Amino acid sequence: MVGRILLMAVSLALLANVVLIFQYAPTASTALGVQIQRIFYFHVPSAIVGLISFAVAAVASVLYLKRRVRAWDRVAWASAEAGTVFFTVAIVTGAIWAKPVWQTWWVWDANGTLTFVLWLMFITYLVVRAYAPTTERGARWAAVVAVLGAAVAPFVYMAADWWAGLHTERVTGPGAQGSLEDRMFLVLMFSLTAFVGLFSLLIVQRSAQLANEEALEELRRQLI
Amino acid sequence: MDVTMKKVFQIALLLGVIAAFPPIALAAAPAQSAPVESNLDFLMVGVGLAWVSFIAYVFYVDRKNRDLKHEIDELRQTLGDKN
Amino acid sequence: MRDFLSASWAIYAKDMRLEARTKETITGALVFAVIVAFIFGFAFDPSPRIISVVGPGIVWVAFAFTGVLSMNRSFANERDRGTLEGLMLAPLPREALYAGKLAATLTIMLAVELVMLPIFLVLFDLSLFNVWFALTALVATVGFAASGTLFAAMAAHTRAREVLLPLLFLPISLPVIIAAVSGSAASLDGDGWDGVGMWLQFMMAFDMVFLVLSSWAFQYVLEE
Repeated sequence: MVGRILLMAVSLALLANVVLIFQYAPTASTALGVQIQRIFYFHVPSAIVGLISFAVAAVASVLYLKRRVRAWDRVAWASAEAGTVFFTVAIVTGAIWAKPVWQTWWVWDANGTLTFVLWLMFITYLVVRAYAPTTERGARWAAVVAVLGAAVAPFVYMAADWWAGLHTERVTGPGAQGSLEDRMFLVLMFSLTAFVGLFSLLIVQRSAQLANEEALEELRRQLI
Repeated sequence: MDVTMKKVFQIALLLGVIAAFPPIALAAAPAQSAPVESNLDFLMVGVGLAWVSFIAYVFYVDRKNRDLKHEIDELRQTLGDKN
Repeated sequence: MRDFLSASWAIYAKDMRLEARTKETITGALVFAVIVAFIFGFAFDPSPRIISVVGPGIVWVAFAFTGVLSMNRSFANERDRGTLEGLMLAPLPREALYAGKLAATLTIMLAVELVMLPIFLVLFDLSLFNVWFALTALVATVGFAASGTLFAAMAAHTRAREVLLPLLFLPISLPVIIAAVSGSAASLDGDGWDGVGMWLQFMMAFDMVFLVLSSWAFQYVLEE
């Protein structure tokens, strides 16, 4: 019941989001790229939701290692998968935005580097699960990867911030210039809410799917 | 049927995303004399369609999940009754 | 505490004795390091001006990749010879196994780095004989070995350990690499504590966090 409501609400929010982004959000200055700037309403929420998914994966992983309740592992796994997608979107939209505005596909700033490293950690999480000798060990090892990945995030951010300061004149990421116009801020907040809703929806659905898979495995074993 | 549906959704999504690129390129190139604002509506429709395809796929997966869960619960019942 | 120290020492001594007899890890790592350094000589024009800019980078890329090799062997041999099960059955605390292996890996990595110093001098006219560089290298290598020992234990159990270990190790070690390169560059400029101190503190914080986390996570990696 709750699942159905979430599904409907998120779907409506995402569609409304598209309309808002193109009709309600104001046109940006030339410095931000005028119309291409609208991609920011997909770029920033994706990156933020990516970070949220990493936090969720890390916390769920710790809980799984401590308590060995399957549900936590499923949530962590679902978060890792969803997080990979959100980070990919963030990186790709960032590149699409950066190219016309800054004439470069990538900037080695703190935000970008952190996103890239966390994206790599998510990929590692999934690879470890795939390559482990048993599913049980894969789950445990991946949980360890998630926890260490979360622990390294502040160090990566700090080091990359120092490093970027040494080597590039641009220090701020796209859109990080003072305060946003009211309408921009509103659309950004709405988009962020819609994306967080999407994330929750994906976690709920994917965990349920994983639970079904496990139940099927168990039934198969019973019948044999 | 299921495999086909999945492929249909994926292709629709891919086409929607691809359809969004020319307008993005137009919007991004400041030297163009083409009216960017009117192209923006095409972009909105393109992006909107991509999202609609995605949402349709999510609904589809949701329904399959539910059906599967029902089946599993029923199976559990029958196995439980037998034992 | 007594048990922990004596058990760690036992593991460490065993590994060192094995290494002293066979010398397989250290020769392999050393040859690899020399080759990497040599190849860098052809990656760009090794003139003094350019070396002063990229020198620290070359050094730490060489040390990082050589480190992956050394760490790999610390568990690969055990796994292949089947002695890992023996270690796990032995009545020693998991942290002691981690500490012993960590110390062994650290010793080998530091030995390789020491031997590489005159090699860098000869190949690039790059003099690294500097107290601050030595400190930087020590703290950085501990940082590498801390998470590396944990990941090597993980990778040793999989089929694709040559691929998995770098994938696990390098993203986590990014802050250490940035700090080591920056700290080395500062030490070579003759900056002393003013330039190097910040990086040393950063790396020491990293080392503490990851020594604790890795020794905690080690038990979950070894469990059957």
